[in-house]
Amino acid sequence: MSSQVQSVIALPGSPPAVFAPNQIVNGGRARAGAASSLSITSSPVRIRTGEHSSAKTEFINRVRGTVTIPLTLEIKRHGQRIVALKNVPFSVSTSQQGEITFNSEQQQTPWRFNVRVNSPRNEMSLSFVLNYSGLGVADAVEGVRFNKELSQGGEFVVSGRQPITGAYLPIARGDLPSGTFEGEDKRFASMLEELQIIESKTRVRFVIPDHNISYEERLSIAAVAQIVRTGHAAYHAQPWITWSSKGQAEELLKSFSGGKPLLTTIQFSNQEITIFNTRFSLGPVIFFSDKTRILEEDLNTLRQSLENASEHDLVEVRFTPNTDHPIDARYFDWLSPAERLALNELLRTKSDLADLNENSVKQQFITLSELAKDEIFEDGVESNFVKGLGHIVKGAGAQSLATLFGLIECENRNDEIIAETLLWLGRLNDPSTHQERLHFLEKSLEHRSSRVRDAAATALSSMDDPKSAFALQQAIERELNPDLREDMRQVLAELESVH
Amino acid sequence: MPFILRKIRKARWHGNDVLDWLLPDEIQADSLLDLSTKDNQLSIYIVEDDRSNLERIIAALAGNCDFISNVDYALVPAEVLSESGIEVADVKGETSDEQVNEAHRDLIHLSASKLLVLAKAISIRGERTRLTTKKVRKMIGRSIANGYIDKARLKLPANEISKLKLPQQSDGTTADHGNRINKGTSDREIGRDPEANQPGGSEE
Repeated sequence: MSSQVQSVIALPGSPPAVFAPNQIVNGGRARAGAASSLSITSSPVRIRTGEHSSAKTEFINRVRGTVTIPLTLEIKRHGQRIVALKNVPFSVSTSQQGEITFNSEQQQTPWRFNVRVNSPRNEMSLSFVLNYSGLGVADAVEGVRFNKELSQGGEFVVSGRQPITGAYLPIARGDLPSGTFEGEDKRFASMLEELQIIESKTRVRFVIPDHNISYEERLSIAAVAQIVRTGHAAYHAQPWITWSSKGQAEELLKSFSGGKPLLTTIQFSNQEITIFNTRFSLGPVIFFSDKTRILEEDLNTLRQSLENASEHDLVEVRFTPNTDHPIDARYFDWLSPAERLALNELLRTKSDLADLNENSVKQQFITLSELAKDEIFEDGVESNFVKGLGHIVKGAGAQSLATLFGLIECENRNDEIIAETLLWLGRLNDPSTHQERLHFLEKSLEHRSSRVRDAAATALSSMDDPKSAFALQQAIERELNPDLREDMRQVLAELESVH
Repeated sequence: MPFILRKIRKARWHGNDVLDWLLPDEIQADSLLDLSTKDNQLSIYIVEDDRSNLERIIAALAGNCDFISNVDYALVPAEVLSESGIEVADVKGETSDEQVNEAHRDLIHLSASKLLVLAKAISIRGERTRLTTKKVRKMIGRSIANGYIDKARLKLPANEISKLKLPQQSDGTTADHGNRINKGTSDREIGRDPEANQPGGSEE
């Protein structure tokens, strides 16, 4: 934060696309892993269980033909249930050789199981595939977990409920060897974890889409998870465009005209994001973009836009940050209470300081003006009033000139004091405020008081900038006082002779 | 007939052509700010009838300031003083040009009505002129180059003195007080022709 602080630019709506979460610096890349897309279907698994596989004879004896019943698939280790898929509809059939088949492949579920148990031979074979499409995150997590535990082996149990009593009823069992297949893609598991975090924080529910999940989607998910977990994000610094009100755009033009890079602080009222076709809000966000400029060509475009804009038009403003400095973002709704308090304090302090500064400058100028009513000003003599003005601007910074301009424009100010202020503005040796002073003095050539017009022309002579020639020419054409008109001509002639 | 010179602010002398509340032939009260007395006295300079010392007086006055600015001044025929019974005292000036100091006078025993007569004379009969900062700067430079102004006695701060464009000598050195006096410049700028002695006029 080495550069000058710019006040907060508050804009409605969502930030531009360069602040989409998939643009976060390292936000999701590490967690998103390799850049290929993710399948929403698990690889098919075929396992043959070891010895001691069995099915309950009484259950088998009851099955006639093919029936569909809800069953639970469990994996146990050391007698403890590790994971279970509950109430999966299975069609159950028996062969004449006593083989029982539990099949969910024809059911409208994500799980496609085919379990065959041959009790006489003590054999069980299991094949399954998981299609995550259409699953809620919690169900998908269960599927991934089941897949993972399955890959690690254990006791595989198919169970149901006793039809009359509802009691737990193990139907078939087999011992699964460990490491016969790879578990689910770890990237998929990470993504689901992140989706769970987002769901738990935002109360939004997601459904796994029916297409493979792109790398960009995973980046967004990882970044949003980071945002809702910490409230922090850092974006790659790239030029961005905002649509500002005419007043804001004019302020921006004024602030950035000097060419100095500024710390630009922009707050958007609400950042909206879409994950798996579900749109939701991340709430208000503030971006701190250090060493940001509006490039000369963009300033020119902005000037032109402002000339053509009416009061209610939105004006396009293009910012160019220093690409070496990521843009920090803070999401108010997801910060820790302490951080949110600190950020609010910081913003309040900035805003209060600005108000305080402005009020202080106003008060000092008014007091100085009151005291100056008893002072007789003379050309070439530094009045106490002018010394005071110098102290105010030195203390409050060059930005206080804007406050002074506002005060001078008040109709009830003393013309002699305004004239003295203008003469001082013309003499100020501060290139950073040259344009603003020049513009203000040119505007003052239209003042109702001839004394102020005279001072404005004299001050423009001190500034010695030929750009004022046109404004002076117009002032000469308007001027009723022949004496003042002649003095303005003298200034104009000098400015026109400046090369 | 010589003139009396008083430094003013021209805008304080604007009339009813721009001040619609001011009756014709009246002067605005703020004009009197330029005739501010102390101990009922008012400081003026006497300008020769051919105005030969006019530029020198202005340069000396400007050199006695905190910074170089435009100079507004009023010239009134000196006979106004005798006409209105205003008393004059020879009091040496305090500028960095000794000859200009000799041209300094104090108007003394001034009453309010006498002061008003003087103000009306400036308003009706006076020449009110402005010299821009650039012209004044050149005039100070010439006075230094001609050796009229003792640079060491200038009240101007160093940063203002550094802005002065001193005329170059043929050998490339800058003419300066105590260095050499460029008589040619002196004759041209402060000659006998009153037209040529309009301060700053030779710069255009």
